This record gives sequence, C-alpha cells and structure tokens, in this order.
Amino acid sequence: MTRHLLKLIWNRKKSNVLLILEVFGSFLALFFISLMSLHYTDNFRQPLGYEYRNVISVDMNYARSLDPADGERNMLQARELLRAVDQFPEVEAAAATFFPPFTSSGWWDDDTDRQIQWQMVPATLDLDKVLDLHVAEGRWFEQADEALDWRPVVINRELAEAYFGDESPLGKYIHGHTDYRVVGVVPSFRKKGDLSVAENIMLMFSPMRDVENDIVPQTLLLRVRPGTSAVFEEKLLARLKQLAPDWSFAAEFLAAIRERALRDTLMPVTIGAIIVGFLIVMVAFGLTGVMWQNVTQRTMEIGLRRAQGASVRSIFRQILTELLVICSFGLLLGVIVIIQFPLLDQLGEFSLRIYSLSIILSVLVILGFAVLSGLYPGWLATRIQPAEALHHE
Amino acid sequence: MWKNYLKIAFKVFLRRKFFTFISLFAIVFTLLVLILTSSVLDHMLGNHPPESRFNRILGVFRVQLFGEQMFINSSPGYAFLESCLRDLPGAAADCILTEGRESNAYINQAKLPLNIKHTEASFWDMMDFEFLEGGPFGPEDVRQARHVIVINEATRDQYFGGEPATGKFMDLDGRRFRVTGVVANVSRLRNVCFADVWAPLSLLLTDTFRAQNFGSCRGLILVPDPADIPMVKQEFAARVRLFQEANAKEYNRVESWAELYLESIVRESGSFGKAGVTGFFVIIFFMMVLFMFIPTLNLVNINISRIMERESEIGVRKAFGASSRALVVQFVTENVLLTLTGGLVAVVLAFFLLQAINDSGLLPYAQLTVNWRVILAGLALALFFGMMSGVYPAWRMSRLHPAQALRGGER
Repeated sequence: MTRHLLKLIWNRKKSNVLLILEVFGSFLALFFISLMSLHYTDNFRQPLGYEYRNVISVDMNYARSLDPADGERNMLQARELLRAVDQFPEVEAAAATFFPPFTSSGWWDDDTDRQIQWQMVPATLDLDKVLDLHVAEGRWFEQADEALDWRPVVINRELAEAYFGDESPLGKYIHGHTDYRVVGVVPSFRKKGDLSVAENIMLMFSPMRDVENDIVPQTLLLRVRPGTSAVFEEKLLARLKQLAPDWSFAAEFLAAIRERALRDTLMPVTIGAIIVGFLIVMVAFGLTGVMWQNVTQRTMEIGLRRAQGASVRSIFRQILTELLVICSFGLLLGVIVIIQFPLLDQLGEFSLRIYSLSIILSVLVILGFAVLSGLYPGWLATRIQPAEALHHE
Repeated sequence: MWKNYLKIAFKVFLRRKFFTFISLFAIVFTLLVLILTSSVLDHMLGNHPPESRFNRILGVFRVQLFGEQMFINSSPGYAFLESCLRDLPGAAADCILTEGRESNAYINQAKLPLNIKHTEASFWDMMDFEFLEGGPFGPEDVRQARHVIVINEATRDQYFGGEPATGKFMDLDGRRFRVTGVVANVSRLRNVCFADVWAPLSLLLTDTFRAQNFGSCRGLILVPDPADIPMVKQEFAARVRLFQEANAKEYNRVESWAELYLESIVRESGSFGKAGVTGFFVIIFFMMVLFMFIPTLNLVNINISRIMERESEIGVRKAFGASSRALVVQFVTENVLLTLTGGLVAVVLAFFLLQAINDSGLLPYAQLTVNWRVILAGLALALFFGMMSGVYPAWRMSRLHPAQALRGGER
C-alpha cells in the first residue's frame, strides 16, 4: 500500500514538490513561533529571585564627567540622597544600584582566561531587604565590610556553578578586571526579568565611599509600605529635587517597569503568532483546494478501485494518507534543517528540551491541519460511483 | 480580446467559488500584512508634519571620542555641538535640543508621566507644528531662560481637563511653568520631534552642561535643498576635524555624523556596513519577498490545480490555434485581476485595522493612515505578487498538449 502511494506521489512529483515546499515553509515559521512562545513560557515559570512588588525605582540623572572631582561630588550627593529617602516613614528599606531590574541595560565584567562573563550589580547594604534576597550559602554584606581591603561579592547560583563547578565558592576569588572574593551565594537572580534566561550575576558591595573602587549609583530602590500610592512619589521627588536641584529624577514602581518590559518583549511574538496563525490556516485551505482538485481529476482511477471492490473506508484512507505522506516529506525536510542547530551546538539560550518540544509540537500541529484539510476531499472521493467513473472512459 | 479575457476570468472565478475564496484569502492576507508594514515605515520615515522637511533635516545623534585610556560613545554634549554645528555654510538653520526624558506632573494625587524635550527657539521654525492655541516660545524667552513650555493636546486634556491652557501654569518636577501654546500630538515613533512637553534649552545651561562634549543632546541642521546635503555633511566633517585639533590633548580621534534620521538608524544598527540606506531597503525588500514565499507557493499550487481543471478549455483553444503566448497572457491577466481585487479589499481592511490600532493606543499618538504612497506601494506589491504567482502556472498551462488536454478533460 505504502509503496503504491509513494509511486502515485512520484508520478505527480512536479506539483507535489511545490506542495512539499509550502509545507516546509509553514513548518519553519510555525517552529520559530512555537520555540519563542515555549521558551518564554518556560522562563516565566522559573523563580525571579527577587521580589518586585512595593518597590519604587528612582532614576537619577546627573551630569556625567570624567573629572574625578565631579565624581566625588556626585558620590557624596548620592549618599546624602540615599540617607534622606530612608527617613520617610513610608520607606521600609532603601538601597542604591546602577541599573534597576527589568531593564536590559547592564554592566558586564569577565574572566578572559576562563571565558566566563557576568553582569555586575552594585549593591548597597540594604539591597537584600529591598529586593527580599535570600542568601542560600554564606552571608549577605554587613557594615564591617566597608573596612575590608578586599572586595566582597555575593554571586548567584549560575555564576557559582560556571566558575567553581561543584566546589563551594565561599571565600574564593573571582578574577575579573579586578579580584572579587565571594562571601555569599543567592539562588538565580534574573535581572532582565520574567522572560529572560538566568544569567551570571555578581552583586558587588558598594559602600559609596570613593569613586576609585566604586561606581556612582544611578538608581535608588525603595521598599515602601504596601498600599503606598503615587502621591508618595510626588513627595519623594520634591524632597530629592530640593536636595539636589541640579539633578533630575524619575520615579516608577518596579511593577510598572516589569509590565512595560513584558509588553515590549511579547508584542513582536504576538504579532508573529497572529501572522503565522493566518499563514497556516491559509495553507490548510490551499491543501484542501489542491486535494479536492486532485480527487475530481482522478475520478477514473478511484472509480476503478471501487469497481474492483475497494471499500469506501479504504478510499478515504488512501486520500488522507497521500496528503499526510506529502506533508511528511515537507516536515522531514524542515526537521533536517532545524536539527542542524543543536547538532552544530548553536542553540544559543534555548534549552534542548524546549527545542525538541517545539519540533514535536509544530509537527503535530501541521499534521493535524493536514488531516483537517484532507477530510472534505476524502469524503468527496468516497462519493464517486464506480459506474459513473467507468462510464467516463 | 481583453474584454473576453475579463469575461472568461469572471466566469471562472464564479464557477469554483471555493478556489476563488482561497486565492482571495491568501492575497488579501498577504497584502494586508505588507500594506500595514509599509504604512508603519511611511509613518516613521516619511515627510509628515511637524517634520514636513524631514528629508532635508540632518541630525547629529552620536559622538565618539577616542582618548589615550578611554573611549566614549555617546549622544553629543552641548559644548561639542556648539563648536561643530553652529552656522554651517550652506545650512539654513540649526538647533540644539535634548534627547528627551521622562518627567512627572501630578494631578489629583495621580501621576502623569510626561516626556520632556528642551529646545531652542529655532526648533519651532525648522519644524512645522500645528498649534491648536497659543504659539511657541520665542528667542527672548530662551535668552531670558523663562519657565515657559509648549504642551501637546493629550497633556492639555489630562492636566487642564481639555480647557484652553495658554497662559495657565503647570507644575512639573517641582517647578512652575507657564504654557505658551498647545500643539497637536506628535507620534512617539517620530523620535526626533516627539515629546509631551517642550521647554527652553537655556533652563539647563549650567556651567557643567555647557562644558560637556558628550551628554544627552542632539543637533539638527536644516538644509535648504536636498541636493546640498553632501556639501553640508562635508562642512560638518571639517568642523569635527577642527574640534579634534583644538582638543588634541584629550582626544586622538573624534567621530561624529550629520545625517538623516534613517541613516542614523542604519548606522547604529551596524549591520549594513557600506551598503548603508540602500542595504537597509534591500534587506526590507528581501524580508518582504521571504514573507511572500509561503503565500506565493500556496497561490501557485491553487492556480495549477485550477488550470488542470480547465484542461478541456485550453485544449479547445489550442486546437483552434491560440499561441502559447496568448494563453500565458490570458492566464496572467486573470491572476493579476484577482490580485488587484484582493489588493482593493486589503486596502479597505487596512484602513479599518489602522483605525483600530490608532484607537488602541498601542503606539502612543500614532496616526497611521492609508495615504496615496501606501496605496501605491500596495498596488505595486499586488502586481508583483500577481506576476510571481501567475507566471509559472501559466507556463505549465501553455505547455499542455492539445490532444491530451482534450481527451483528459474531465466531466
């Protein structure tokens, strides 16, 4: 039976090649969209590593300059501002950092010998309280760290595993553009937000003392009492402006920044999914049309089979199987192309599990649509009367 | 002859409604996506008020400073622009403005986030804002560093409840500003012009700000005639060289560009190299063709099926001496006719869809429209699409053997 079908398909190779190409193209498009969606869904379900609710992020904008004297002034100003915002009764804890969570901007450092890269997150003393960080191993920073002559850092699980493997990282050094000593490990800390994969993160203690070993922060993060509203933002900004008239400030709840980041990342995928959805429906219609035409043209052949005793069911099966075999060729071609990426180790940030899942999902969806488009032509084929067909000749 | 082709085509379309429906569905959907894309591109890059002179406004969006131990890649600062941008020979006007940043107003205990740009008075002459009331702030306001602002319609509606705002005061970031005028909303996609609030640049002019070579400013240069653009670019490059020589102690090399907005996008993306803007359009065109790949194949398949169905008709025509060429022309005509119909439907659909997008606020203040440029693009795309999907099936059809076609014709 299968050999017979293959022969039939081979005989009509010219038009079938185009069909196969069409299925191939749709499969690639569908695969890409399902890969992105599954990837994001999977990431979204992982823990973020910090708590963003009830946190206000204040973006501080000051004149940057290379002059160390300006740097010192800015550092002093930032210290004073941090102290001032901590005084508000609404504020439970305040800390300073450079880039807030949920933004893609970052500051990277790397160990060139070992080819390991990580993102630096400057952290003042209370950042763990503001973002509700829980140190899994070792400790968080403490006041006494300001006096150390080495630089204490807290790293996340990913960096610990990448750099130290199974060994305990506590007390060991990481060599970036300078040496850092690990005092604690936190679980994953996904700074870029819900949809990103976990990156290597290094929280670097920032006592905000001098510009030589430290960086002037650009963001204040404040954990406020639950229920604090935008009215407080106005009060907060007025106070900041009063303390630093030359600087400009913008305040926003982290939840709002997160919302925006989610929307910005998901919008292109949503548009893509809508387009691919329409494409697939269109292709399904096209397949129906082609098979329909195919059936009407082959009245004679099908009639003959019926006259020789083939059952209605077997005719229906024949048409459906033919369509599925044609689609399978397209799918096979697509899978061969797609499978090259993991084979060449070019998966990027996608996990093999998600990658294979998307392949399976896309294959099933295309086959499902193929069955749907085969139903009507198949039914038409069963309606062909042997007598009528033979009369034809 | 043409009349007959059209008649036949029409009959054929009606005979197999399902096929016609599939073809139209594919055509409408494909063209709709392409028309929407061109509409967004046109909205971002075309000459539209307030940027009616967009094709002859050069911007300075970036400066790269190479020193002994550092490399700075940033938006230009005031000092750099002041020495390189002012009164270039061949330029009609120039202006320094900020990139724009978020700023907050508070009304009724709620926050109103606003984007604010600081500009000079010449900005209002270079651009072509539609003032709903009042007018821009003038050179005198800028010189005196008065706290005056121009706001957009949306801000007026939200802050002043839609009442006339000219002469009224507005609190922004803890300072009080007088409103001199209200302009129609500018789309956020018009990056150079967009803001909710425009204030005089002089309010920012502290000594530190004045001394900055890199910072958060932009320069704009109005060129009287597009043909003069290369000359003005050269003048600017010469000024940048002078600037480097004057600051040779600090910087070994200084790079900056006076360029059209599209050129800056292309350069910043860094993926087109020397091909520049041409490369950008080639890539866009290539992506559109790639997108059309599946719909075209679909249409080709359907067309081939349809031809098979018409074997007997074709056989008869061939037997009576119709040339292959005549048949190809006939079939392509049919197909183009169908695509044009689809194109028409797509334009109408695009019109409503764009309305919906505008109303949804997905793109702040965007007024996407189907204008004649977009329609022309749609028409060209439809023709191209019709040809692409019609030629191969037509060729297949013309090669049918008359005798076989006559015999094999079904029903």
